[in-house]
Order: sequence, then C-alpha cells, then structure tokens
Amino acid sequence: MSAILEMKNVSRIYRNGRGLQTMDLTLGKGEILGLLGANGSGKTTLLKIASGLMRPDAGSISIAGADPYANPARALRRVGAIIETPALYLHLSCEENLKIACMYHQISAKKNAERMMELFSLTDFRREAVKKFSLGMKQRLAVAIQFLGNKKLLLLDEPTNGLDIENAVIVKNAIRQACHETGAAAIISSHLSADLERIATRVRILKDGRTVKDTPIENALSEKQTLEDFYMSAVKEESA
Amino acid sequence: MNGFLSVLKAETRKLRKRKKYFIFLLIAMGLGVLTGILNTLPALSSEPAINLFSAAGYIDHMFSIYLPLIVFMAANDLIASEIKEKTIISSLVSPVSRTCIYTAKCFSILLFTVVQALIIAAGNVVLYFITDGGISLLPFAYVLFDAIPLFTLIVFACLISLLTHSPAFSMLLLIVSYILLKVLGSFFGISPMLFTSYIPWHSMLHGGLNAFDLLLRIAAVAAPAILFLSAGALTLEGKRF
Repeated sequence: MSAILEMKNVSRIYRNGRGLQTMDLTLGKGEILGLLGANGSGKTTLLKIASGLMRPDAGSISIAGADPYANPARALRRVGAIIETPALYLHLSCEENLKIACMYHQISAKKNAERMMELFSLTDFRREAVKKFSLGMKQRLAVAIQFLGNKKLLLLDEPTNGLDIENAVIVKNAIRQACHETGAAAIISSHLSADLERIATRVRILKDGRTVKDTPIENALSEKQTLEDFYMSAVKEESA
Repeated sequence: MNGFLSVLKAETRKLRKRKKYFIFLLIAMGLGVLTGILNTLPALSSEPAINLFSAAGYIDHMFSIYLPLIVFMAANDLIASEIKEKTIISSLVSPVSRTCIYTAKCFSILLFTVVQALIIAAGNVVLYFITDGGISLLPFAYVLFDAIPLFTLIVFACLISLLTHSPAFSMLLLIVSYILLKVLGSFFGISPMLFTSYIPWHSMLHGGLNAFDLLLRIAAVAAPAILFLSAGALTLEGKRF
C-alpha cells in the first residue's frame, strides 16, 4: 500500500506545554482515520501540521512524497482541509465560493463547481449568499469545497459539527463515497464516536498529544461494543 | 506563475464581488458630476481659489483621498478580515506558497484600484469636456503614472493589516498614519523622504521633471515598497494559524 501521508517523529509543543508529542503516522490509499480525543489532546494540531498550516518543531512530513513546507505546490495540490471552522466567504454566493476554491487549486471552475453542488444537494442555493445559509448548509458547502479536484488527502476537523441528521448523512456518505471511488485518504477528527464508527476504517486515540491506541475499526468494535466504550477503556488503561 | 495568476484572479474576484466598492465608485462619480455642475455656476468658476470645483482639482482629490481609502479597505478585506474570520486558511491550504499568496493579494489590490482609477479618469475626461470644452486624455496618463507610488501604499497597507489582523484597528491605524505622514511631511519639509507624498504623483508632470529626478523619485518609492513587501511576506510565512 503506497503511503499518501507520512509523518515521522513529528512534534509541536505550545508555550502552555500542550501540543503534539513525538508522533508517527502513515496513511495509505482509501484509508479513513478517525481521531478521537479530549479537548487539547492534539487532534487539531495534527491536522494543522498535516495541512501545512503549522510547521512542526521536529520531525518530517510528506504528502504523496513531497514536503508541504518545502514544496507546497506539489504536496498541497491534492489536499483538502477544514480546520476548526468552515472557511467560507460569507459575502459570496455558494457557487462563487466553489469557484474561488477551484482557482486556488488551479482546476477548471465551471465543471468542478457544478459537480460538487449536485453531489452535496446545493444546486438550488447556488446564487444565494452564504451569509444567509444555516450552519448545516455552511458546513455542507465547506466539505463540498474540500472534495474539488479529486483530492488525495482530506483533513476534516469535526465535519458533521452542527449538522442535523439529514445533512450529517449527506456529508458522511459523500466522504465514504469519495474515498472509496478515488482512493483518497482522510483524517477525520470528531467528538462523535458514532460518526466515526460509520465512516472510519481505522481509529487513533490521542491523549495529551500522544497516541494511546491505533487500530482498525473492526478490531476496536470486536473488542468493545461501541467506539465510545473502546475510547473510554483505552483512556482508562493509559491513566492507570 | 500559474499559481500566482490563479490566486490573483481569485483575490480580484473577491474584491469585485463586494458591493461597497461599487457604491463608493458611484459616490466618486457623483462627486465628479457635482463638480461639473458647480463649475458651470458663474459665481464659483470665476473664483480661482476654489480649486475643488475644477476638473484638475477633482482628480487630485480623488487620487489623494479616494484611492488611498479604497486601498485601505481592500487590504483590510483581503488580509485583516480574512485572518479574523479564518477564511485565509482556505488559501493557505492550497498548492501555492505563502509568499506567492501575499504578493498576489497586493497585486490584486493594485489591479482593482487601477481599474477604479481608470473609471474615475474616464469621468474626468467628460468633466474636462464640460468645464473646458476640449478633450484631454491626460487623466489616463495620470493613472498609469500614479500606479507606481500607489503600489508602495498598497504594500504598506497590507503589512499593517497583517500585523494588526483586526479590521477596525487596522483601518484606523492606516488612516491616521496616512494623514500624519502627509502633515508631518509638509510641516517639517521632509515630504520628498516619505512615500505618501508622491500620491498623486502625476503632479510632478507639471513641474518639468528631468530623468535624474524621476529616477531618484522612483527609488524613493521603490525602496519602501521592497521593504514593506518583504516584511509582509516574511510575516505571513512565519505566522501560525
């Protein structure tokens, strides 16, 4: 299995002592890694480092064989990321937001924007200003933007945050479908373990910036009935 | 180069889609029409001290007050607001270096401002026709000439926006520093040393400027421009999000 993302001995410590301790991570084609952890466990830091937003203090990182800090043009060409909040231009329409994202990623705007609006049921709202969107629709659009241009790596921080059941299902299905069809890898951080149960192929539990457990989802679910139970027992084990 | 052009296109599009710039342009054009009307009034046109009501006075005011205001707002929209709202992240997680993104932002403001200036210049040509009865294409030459010092002001505004990343504070700081530099320049006679004094630059055309003077003045605006642009690019490179 060829690695899409490879992190070796990566660490990033903030002034308050929190952050990410020495961490290794390899993600192959089509793999969907679910990140579980309490607030401040290092989930967002990991996503920021992987997306080229935050340089690590130490260690190396490569996306499809290229360093995102030394060669962003090659490494980030096929990376989509939602970090913390959906980064949308509120004064622009849904279609304009998609087109601008296409420009940043240097891909054909018209065809790609159209396809994503269809996939995420946004066609009826194409000309509507994003500032009028509900939180769920904003989140749906933000995820749609990350799928533009056959991405190889998706880094999604709480992608179903604030979504109602219907919107959450659309987003989860789209993530699964895209990874299955295109072989894209994804890292999804979520507080909702039930969401990860449905889409992740692998789960990693973080605590205080360190990896507590990393296992295929089937193993986790054969060990415990739910991912929530698996998380709680792993964290307890670590604390003991 | 493709990456730079794509970002340039995206940034210009973002500015173009903001209605406030269109409204400001309408106001500017309205002022031009008002100037034309007032100029036709015998009581005002016979008073040479009232420079405001002449075509030349109009373009001078537009270039030294209106365009800097547009520059400050655009820098705020593309940098300070994007940092505050975290929308800048979508451009940073793209296959283009941060330096390239920052430079493209600066150039998109230049492009956008020059287009606004060209529209004002076109209005000014009409104004000349109404007030003086002849057709002068000089305002278009003014725009091209003034674009050089305007770029220095743009990179200065972008740097301030980047350092403060609070749209309101950044706007206040930019307006105050612009006025202060203008006033200090005139008061202490150090205008030739300040980049803000060259806006509008086209006034030099009337003074019979020689080539050596022109080169010196280009150096006087190019030096701070390089300094501000490099400082801004380096700041963005090292910035944590």
